[in-house]
This record gives sequence, C-alpha cells and structure tokens, in this order.
Amino acid sequence: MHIWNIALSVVLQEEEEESTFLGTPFHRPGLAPEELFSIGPVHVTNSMVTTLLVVLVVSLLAIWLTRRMQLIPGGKQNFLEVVVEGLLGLVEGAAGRRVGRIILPLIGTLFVYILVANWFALLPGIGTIIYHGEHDVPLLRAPNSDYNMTLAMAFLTMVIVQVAGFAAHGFGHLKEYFPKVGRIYLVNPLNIIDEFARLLSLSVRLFANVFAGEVLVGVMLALSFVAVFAVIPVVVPAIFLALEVFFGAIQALVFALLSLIYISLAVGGHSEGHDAEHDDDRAAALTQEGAARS
Amino acid sequence: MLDNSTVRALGLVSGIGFSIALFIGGGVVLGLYLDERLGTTPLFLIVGLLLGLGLAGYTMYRLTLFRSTQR
Repeated sequence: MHIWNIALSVVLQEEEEESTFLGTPFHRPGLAPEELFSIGPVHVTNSMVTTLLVVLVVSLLAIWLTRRMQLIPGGKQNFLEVVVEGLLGLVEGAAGRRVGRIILPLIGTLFVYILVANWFALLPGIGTIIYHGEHDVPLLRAPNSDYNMTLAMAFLTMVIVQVAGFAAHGFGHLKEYFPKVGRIYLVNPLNIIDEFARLLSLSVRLFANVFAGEVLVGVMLALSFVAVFAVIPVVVPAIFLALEVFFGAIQALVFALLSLIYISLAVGGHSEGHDAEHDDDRAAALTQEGAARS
Repeated sequence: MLDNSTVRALGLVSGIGFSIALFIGGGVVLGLYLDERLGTTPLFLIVGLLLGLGLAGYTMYRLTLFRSTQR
C-alpha cells in the first residue's frame, strides 16, 4: 500500500478486482483484519502474523543489543542505555522512584512494541503482499490497525491498574468504587464507568490513529496513481509516510504515558522525590520531554 | 488522589492522541461518504483530508506549545 510497493502491488493485485480503490490497484483496508487460515479453533489473521513478526524483531534486537555488555558501554550498548534511561526518567518522573522502577518493564515494553509495530507497518510489503487462500487477502497488516490488538493491550493495562491499586492499598482500593458513608457501603457508578471509559478510550485512540493512517497513506497513494494527480506520485505519499512516522511515535508515547498515569493514580501518589507535582507546566513538559526522547 | 498536574497530563496526552485520529479519520470518512453520495470523487476526499490534517495540527499546537507558554 505504501510508496515503495507500487510496482509490487501492481504485480500482485492486478487480478484482484475487489481490492481496487478509486480505480487503482491498491487495497483499501477494511475495519476487520482478514483471516488467513485456521489452526483448530484459532483463526489466524494477517494482523496476528505481523504482530508475531514484530515481537520476533523486538526480541532479536533486544538479545543482540544486550550481548557482551560492558561497564563502559560501546556503540550498540550506548544506544540501548539511552533508550532505557530515557524511559526510566519518564516513568520515575511520573510515578516516583520506587513505583517507577517496578512498572518500567511494562511501560517500556508497551512503548517499544507500539513504536516498532507502528513503524513496521510503514515498510514495503505490509498490505501489498497477497496471500492466495480462500480469498485473496494481504498477508501482513499493521498490528495496531486491528482493534483486537489495541483492546488486548488496553485490557492488560487496566488489569495491571487494578493489581497496582490492590498492591498499594490492599482492600482499601475498593473504597474508590464502594465508598463508605456512615455505616453503609455505596456504589460509586461514576468510578466504575470511568474504568470502562479508560479501557475504551485507550484502545480506540490507538486503533483509530493507526487505521486512519493506513487509509490516509492508501488514499494518497491511490490519488497519486490517478492520472490527474500523477504529477508528483512520489513526493505526496512520501510526505504522508513521514507524517505517519511522527504520528506512530506520538501514539506510542500517548499509550505508554496514559498507562503510566493510570497506574500511578491507582497507586495513589507520587511517593518520594516529587516536589514539582503541583507545577501546572508539568503535564506539557512531560509530553514534550517524551516527544523529544522518542 | 487526583492532583492537578496528573489530571492536566491526562487531558493533554489524551487530547493529542484523539485530535489526530478524530480529525484525520473523520475527514477521510466524511470525504469518502460525500463523494459517494454526490459522485464527486475525489474532491471531498481531498478537502476532508486537508481539513483534517490542518485541524489536527492546529489542535496539537494549541494543546502543547500554547499551553506550555501560557503561564
């Protein structure tokens, strides 16, 4: 679907009538991921295949970067330390030193995975290599343009938020949902609705962004392909691909930061070394700092 | 429990995320719909897309730079 894939997509999709988009050979992504094949009751979709590929890439990269680590870091170890220290600074800044160190693996993994997945989706071959099964469908699809993926990550985050709340306050955590007034416990529906709203917003935001990006780049490619707009068929999609690189990083940061804030809220505070928490500029500074690091 | 800065951070980060998706996605969908209804492909698609991009950029600017220099 992307700019480097024009030739490939023309070759691979020329027989497929369904995939035409504005009269061009580009595949227009649908809301649901396409099923490739089934293993027993498990329906393997194209986004699952890409997800596994991304996991493989991130894992191999991590193994390679952490081989032969030394006290005085060299090239690749330096790179990794910059990334980890950047994330650590961000997490500790929001959640405090003690809690920050505990949740760093989760927040770091979410950030790195979403970032790599979003950028991976811009590579040639994603959406253009066709799998000839029951139907002709793209073999690979951006992992986060599948709502199942983003919902699963958001669900995991919200479960961890609850776990963190119980770990910090014990059963006192339930007071948030069931406040005690006098001698009776009431149900606080707003807080319960809030949890589901967070789940929904966290998952829909990432999904909508990546999906809109897919459509955006697809539309731009298709428009460039149409004769009237074929004056600059390389430049226009390239601009939007660059935008997608930027949006991909922003969305990874947003998802990780929001997860971080939800968890630190559940833990109930910024325990130590956190004097600046009433600074009104903090929110903007945190985001800008994160954007600069990403 | 909810201190001022955390609520602001939540609003800011959440707003940035949604402004991109909502405006660009909305522009594309609305453009495609209008083109289909009026048979003007791809006029409204381009208009919707550019409008969405502009609005998303402007909202992001307002949310980040404007807010941080306000005080």
